[in-house]
Amino acid sequence: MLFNSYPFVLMFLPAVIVGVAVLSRWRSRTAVLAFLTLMSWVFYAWWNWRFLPLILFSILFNFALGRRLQRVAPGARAGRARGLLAFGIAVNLGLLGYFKYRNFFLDTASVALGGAWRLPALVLPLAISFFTFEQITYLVDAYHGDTSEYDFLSYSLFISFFPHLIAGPIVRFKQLVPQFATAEIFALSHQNLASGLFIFAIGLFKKVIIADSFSPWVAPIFDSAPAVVFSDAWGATLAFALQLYFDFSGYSDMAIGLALMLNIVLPENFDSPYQAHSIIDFWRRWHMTLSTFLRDYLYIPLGGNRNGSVRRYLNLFITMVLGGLWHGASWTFALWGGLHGAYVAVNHRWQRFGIRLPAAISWALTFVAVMVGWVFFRAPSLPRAQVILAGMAGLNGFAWPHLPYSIGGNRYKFLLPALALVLWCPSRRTIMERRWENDYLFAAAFAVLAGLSILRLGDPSPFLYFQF
Amino acid sequence: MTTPARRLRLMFGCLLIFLATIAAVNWVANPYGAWRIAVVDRAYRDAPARTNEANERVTTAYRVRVEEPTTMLVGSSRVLLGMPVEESSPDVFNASLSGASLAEIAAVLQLAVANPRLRRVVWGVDFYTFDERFIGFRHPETRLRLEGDERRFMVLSVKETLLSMRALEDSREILLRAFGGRKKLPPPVPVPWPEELIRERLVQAGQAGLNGTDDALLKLQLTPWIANYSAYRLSEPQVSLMQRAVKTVEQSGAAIILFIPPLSSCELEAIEQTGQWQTFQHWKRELLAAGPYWDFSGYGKLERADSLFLDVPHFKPAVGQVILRRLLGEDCSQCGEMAGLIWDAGVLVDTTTVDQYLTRQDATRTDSMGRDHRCVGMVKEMLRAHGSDAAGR
Repeated sequence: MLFNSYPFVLMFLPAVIVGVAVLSRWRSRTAVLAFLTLMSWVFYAWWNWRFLPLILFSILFNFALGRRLQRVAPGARAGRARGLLAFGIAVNLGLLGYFKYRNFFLDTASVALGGAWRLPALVLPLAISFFTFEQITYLVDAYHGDTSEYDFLSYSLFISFFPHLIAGPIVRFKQLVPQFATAEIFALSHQNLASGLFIFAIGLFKKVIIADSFSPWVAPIFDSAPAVVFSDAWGATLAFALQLYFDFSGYSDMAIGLALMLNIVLPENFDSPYQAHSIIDFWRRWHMTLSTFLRDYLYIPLGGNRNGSVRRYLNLFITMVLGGLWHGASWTFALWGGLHGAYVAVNHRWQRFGIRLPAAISWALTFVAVMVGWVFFRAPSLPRAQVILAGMAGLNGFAWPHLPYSIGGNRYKFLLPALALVLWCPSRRTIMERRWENDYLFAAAFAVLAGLSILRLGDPSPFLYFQF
Repeated sequence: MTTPARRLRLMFGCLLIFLATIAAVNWVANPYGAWRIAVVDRAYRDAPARTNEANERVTTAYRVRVEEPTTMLVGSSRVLLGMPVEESSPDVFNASLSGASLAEIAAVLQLAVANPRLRRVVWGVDFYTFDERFIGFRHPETRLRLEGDERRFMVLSVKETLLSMRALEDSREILLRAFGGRKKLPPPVPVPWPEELIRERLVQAGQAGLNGTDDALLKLQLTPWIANYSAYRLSEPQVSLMQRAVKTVEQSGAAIILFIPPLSSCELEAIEQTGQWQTFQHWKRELLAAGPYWDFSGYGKLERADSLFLDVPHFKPAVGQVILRRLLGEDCSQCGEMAGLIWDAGVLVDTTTVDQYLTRQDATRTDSMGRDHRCVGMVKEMLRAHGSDAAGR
């Protein structure tokens, strides 16, 4: 079920709110948790019920393993616990690998060894990348003794809580499960309902009004245009950068808003990333929960910066390549990750020189570097990425765009306002932190954001990050 | 005084007011004629914003129920762009849809025959619509709009015509026209166009068209056609579907005129080089099961006149108007020299002439092969890139 669809907005969400309101009157935390877990499974099964057993198995398996890890005496950790942890991570990654990477590995092996191996393509279970990572963080936390008292219901809801289930933010055990334990957590508050609704409306607006306006322009250029001129290449890349940002940050806002309506606080995922003045800064602002995950569960275990600068840069590079591959089973994603790994390494090296560039130059360099990266992220194949990059380099001429009739008009009129929004507008968090003294202004702003978005719910389009 | 409960109530209140206002504006403007209200004259409703496939499928589905033309045009974007009904032509309605499938056209005709004023239907028949991959409805909601039961259609109507951004944009346009008054409306243009207008437009054809298209854009336009024709498989059930649709129109008492629209050199080259020429010829023979038709798609002189095409698949409106005059039996002797080329390209094909006609087409095609046109090499190169076995003919 999509957040940006009538069934969700008109049926599912009201049903959840009313259900929680009714159940919370019984003051039964278990009833509320069970209800929310059940509704989250309905939410998941709405897309394809055949994959519900998969996520249920994954939850059961990891819960059981985590409890076992928790029970292992500290003295035995070096051996048995480590073995259990390795087994758990292997099962999780094996599941992910089977559904997401098996043809990628077979294709790569075919090319390398000259074979022609190919298995039928599998439907990628929705959200598998997200819930796999979350369960790995849980196992690692359990191994380190960082998981407090909890029950199966809390754990199930931690993984399948519908606001973050499909595309994050990636949450950790410590961020969510303790919130389920507080007594007043499900006593709905008007304050949180109002703020949550407002944040949800901002996210919905970002997705259906802004991000979706760019999609008809991006695909024809990236997917099929035979030779792309300078202005088309930059225009389409910029449009994709904006589409991706508004789409994904819109989703994150919706998730945060929905959770807040239920008194749950989810971590922030974006903080005006295109205002970043360095690549390191960019990764502190873009998909923040993934960055934190990669840092804590990959970069640091690899050795982080503890073994000298060469090893540090290598660790950064490996982390980013794997982060790229997490997004999709393709060399384009690996290259995107590798490119960012190199960017981050160069950025760290540069910092050691202690030279500060003027703000405008550092911003421009960062922005262009990120744009070049998005080409690999969006292009369906490496040759297509080459075509776009050649266009960006001006190798196919500089003509002003001449988009074909089928694209549906000039999208440039949307580019500049959207660009201005990401470059100068305060972040959603900043907007929400200001004191809204005037109820009428708050309500009117909500009505315009939500109202305009509702007018666009007739043509729901999936979120870009659903494919990951 | 600010309290969270009050704030929440205000939020919902404002949202309801906002949505009710939008719905009221859309209801009053009634951009697609979906509601029984006539505050804004329907004359202002002509030429609503039609920008893409999805928009057309919404607007046409409602308008085809309420418009009462004597002549209806159906087909794909070739007919939509090539035979535009520009302003205030209550007697002619163009119900064509970009990328229309046969199922969609048949469903439109099923609704159209409820109009007691309907006297004739002009149907631009497309080869691609008979491809096995084009069976059914292109968009999931199109079937509901065209074939759905009343209750579900009502829910959809509220969503699409009252609580929709697209409807709001069209309403805005209509209201602006209405505020401008009738005097500011463009003068009505009869359909088909008068001869002098056609002559004028044909002279203006100039560079703005397929002839002025650079290679990069030409390749972009050719790409879907190479892909389509490379995997083309003629569907026999589609022929039966068309037969049934034609019969539906005939049983309503209206006449039906079938024609195959002109194809550009580039598109014919794509058909030829993907190895589909014989399928194309076979299809023309099969088409006779639905009745005689006019064919403007053959090799001759028209397809080589790139200036008469907007792009690879679409002929220019002036071309469409000459064709329309020919189909409707109206004179075009004053349409200019260029019109003669279009006029002469049309051949009426029936069961008695089909063999001779197709044989002649084969011969003309053989003569045309190897001629110097930039699409010959371009299609060959694209097919090589496409990895098609049909590249070597």
